[in-house]
Amino acid sequence: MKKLGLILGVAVFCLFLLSRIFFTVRTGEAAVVTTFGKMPREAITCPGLYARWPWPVQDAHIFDNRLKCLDTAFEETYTRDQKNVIVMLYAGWRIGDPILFLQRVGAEAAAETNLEGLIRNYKNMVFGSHDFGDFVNPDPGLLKFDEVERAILEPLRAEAAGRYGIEVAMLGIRKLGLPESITTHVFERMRSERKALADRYRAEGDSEAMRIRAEAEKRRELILAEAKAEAKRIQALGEAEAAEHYAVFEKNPELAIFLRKIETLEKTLDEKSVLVLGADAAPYDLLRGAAGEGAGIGKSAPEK
Amino acid sequence: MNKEREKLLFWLAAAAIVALCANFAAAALSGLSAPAAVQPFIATLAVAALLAGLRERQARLADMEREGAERDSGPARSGSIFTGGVETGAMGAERALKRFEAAAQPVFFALAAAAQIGGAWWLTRLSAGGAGASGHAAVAAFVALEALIFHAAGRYFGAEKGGPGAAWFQSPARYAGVAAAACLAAAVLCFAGAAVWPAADAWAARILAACAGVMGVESLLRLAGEVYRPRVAGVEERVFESAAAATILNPLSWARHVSEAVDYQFGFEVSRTRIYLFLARAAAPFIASQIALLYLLSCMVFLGPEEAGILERFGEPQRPELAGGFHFKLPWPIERVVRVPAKRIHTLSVELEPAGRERSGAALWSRPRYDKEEYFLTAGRLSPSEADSDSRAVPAGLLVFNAPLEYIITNVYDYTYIHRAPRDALQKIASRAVARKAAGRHLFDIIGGNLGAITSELKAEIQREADSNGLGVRILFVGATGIHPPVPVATAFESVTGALEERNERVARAQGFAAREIPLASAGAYALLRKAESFRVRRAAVAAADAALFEGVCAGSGKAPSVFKTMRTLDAVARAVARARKYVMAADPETEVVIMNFEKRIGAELFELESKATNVEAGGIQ
Repeated sequence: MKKLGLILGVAVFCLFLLSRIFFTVRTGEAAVVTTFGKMPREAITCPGLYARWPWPVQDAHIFDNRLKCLDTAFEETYTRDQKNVIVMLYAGWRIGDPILFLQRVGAEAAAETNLEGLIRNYKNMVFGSHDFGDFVNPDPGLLKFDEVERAILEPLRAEAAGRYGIEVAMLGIRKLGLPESITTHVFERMRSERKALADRYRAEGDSEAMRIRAEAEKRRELILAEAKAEAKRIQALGEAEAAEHYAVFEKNPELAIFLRKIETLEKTLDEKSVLVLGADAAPYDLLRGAAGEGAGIGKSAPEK
Repeated sequence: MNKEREKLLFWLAAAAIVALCANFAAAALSGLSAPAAVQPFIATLAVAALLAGLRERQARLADMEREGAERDSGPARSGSIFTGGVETGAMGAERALKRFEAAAQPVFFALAAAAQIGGAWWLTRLSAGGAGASGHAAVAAFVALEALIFHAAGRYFGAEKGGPGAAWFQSPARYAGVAAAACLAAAVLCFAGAAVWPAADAWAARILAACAGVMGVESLLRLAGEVYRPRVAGVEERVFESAAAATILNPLSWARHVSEAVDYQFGFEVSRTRIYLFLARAAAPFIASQIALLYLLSCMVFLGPEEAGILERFGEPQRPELAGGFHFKLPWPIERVVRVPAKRIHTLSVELEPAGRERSGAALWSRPRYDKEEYFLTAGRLSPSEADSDSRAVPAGLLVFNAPLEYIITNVYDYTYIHRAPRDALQKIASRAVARKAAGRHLFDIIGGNLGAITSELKAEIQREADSNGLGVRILFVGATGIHPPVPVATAFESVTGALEERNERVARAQGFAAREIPLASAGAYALLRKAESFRVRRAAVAAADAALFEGVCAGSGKAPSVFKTMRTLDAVARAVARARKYVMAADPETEVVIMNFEKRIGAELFELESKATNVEAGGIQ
């Protein structure tokens, strides 16, 4: 039992020792082996199995050298035409010079802090030299995203490589926005635009309705007027036709008028009419004569 | 003897306090957590050593008084009448010692609980040694030295033979051992932090904080137990006992306790049976063989149907990639397989991760679909005056644009080795493409009929960027769901549609008016014409008839001209007045007769008799 324990102990120790001597560099990794803290001439970038003296003689610093994406803060900046805009950029970076990176930065978190500071610096400079219309424009041909990204990336790439040993492989404008106070006003403007459009539609409705009504009324009046004119014409024809028959009345105009009077008398008196007649009017003059003669009612009216 | 033990205990307490101060300084200077992590244990040791030293001091005073009393109670004074008074003084020192011993236990557990629980809480809040930490080796060496000192002290104090007060003298030994173990663990982890495992320092703080917390809880329980613990005269009590400390010092003690409990339950010594002994013998080889087997299992790889694998030999990828199924490989660390879900369609949603929890129910513009919706900047329309002016001011609008994106991995090597987080990179590329597309169009150019073309352009643009950045993916689909104006203005957009309907409604109502009025007018015109025609016919016919009648009457009147008129007049009067109300005035013509007819309503003109006297109506005043 003790022998087994000893074997196991020796095996574990050997494994530990081997793990301290050999190390693997994977594809997408870079390693820097320092000897008593002294930097080597070259970093290891090829994948494979490597050996070193165990700590504290040599120490292997292995870095993940794949592209890492960094988002900058969604930060407010100012354009040349004095407009506030909030911008978020992203950058893809990797360790370009592992030895310089180890000396100047040492860790990814510190690298991202330094890189973000650089990006923000160039972002503010480049955005300050472009108008708002270069970033937002109804004509896509006037947008200058590519130019702006290039203007940030080129100095950033050079400075990050020279100062931190970082290679910036890509950079893009991820998001554009407006400060909240401006957003409120944009909402108000959008609402006003919609309201104006809604009012226009309503006014168009009123206008169209009014036009249709007026047109209809005009047509109605036209139809009625034409009809009335035609009716009068027809009535005139009737009158003309009737007048042809009136020639016969010229044979005895007095009689004709007399007959018309009689006719009119009959037409105008109805059951609601009240007549107060003198006792001298025929035939009631008969009453007057009877009264004078016997009953005292009166004498008859003189004959007209 | 008591004085020497008293000094040793005070020296131990002093050493613990110095170690406490030194560790605080080491933690502050190095930024490492390991020196701080041992503080609760060293503080407990300091309290135990201090209390034990005070107890030794009190015991020494009691011994001195007892010896004085024995001298005073010698043969020369055997007849003294004051012997009782001397005894009283000796008993007072003893009582003080007993009172101290009774009070020391709860005081110790209270202080120990405070140190252990407070220390554990402090350690959990303490930031672990990060990138700024340094001096791992020096700190590890210093803490290891502390471990050595406390270990030696523990061995020395624990070696005390039995006798009066031996339990008190031994009591700090347990805590010195625990402090030594904590220092050793901290030193090892601190060393590992420098050489192998950078996070070891943080783990040292976590592990030791957990141990201190457990010991603190036990101290609290023991403090509560001190109130109810029966005290038997003549039985020496266990001093500053701690099961947690005993377990830390002897990790196998729990196994012994379990074995004893099993023996007690079965009524015989199970641990002495053959099978138990066999299992005990075979356990270590069995576990070792299992570990070896597990290691050998790393030679086999099973890849799922949706996966592809990259075989790495000492970190170098081998080609071609492995398809789904079973594969052999050399054991770790020579070869390893990286699994990539290459056959699966992956989905991401632009600008909605990680806040993309979709709400159920109808998807309305005026109701937020997600917990947090991001706005994209769009171009507003220029008014005619703005378009004509030289200023390049462009009004901006906002748009919610949720674009689900589906992709599949086409190159597992690029996908694995070029980007550390390819999905994250693709998300950013897609966001960029959407931001550009939105910024170059008016809102209605996006949500109108161009949506299909825009999503096609987006897909092509994202694919182009993904290829140029070596993502190794193929974009299968870019959707256009959830594209709408921001929620705060959605109602205004809906009101436009309402206004359109209102417009149509007003037009329709006017059309209804027209549809009603024109036919009515036509009908009226038709009626007028028909009436005129009937008038014409009637007029002509009546005139003809009148003429014929007149000719007849003319002929008639010629026959009897003297009576004709009178007869016709009377006939006409008879017909005309037959239905009328008639009043025949037989009085003199000069007499005025007024007749009031109340069959009709009396109008206001009744009261204007003077002006209306000559203008009476039928049915009014006559």
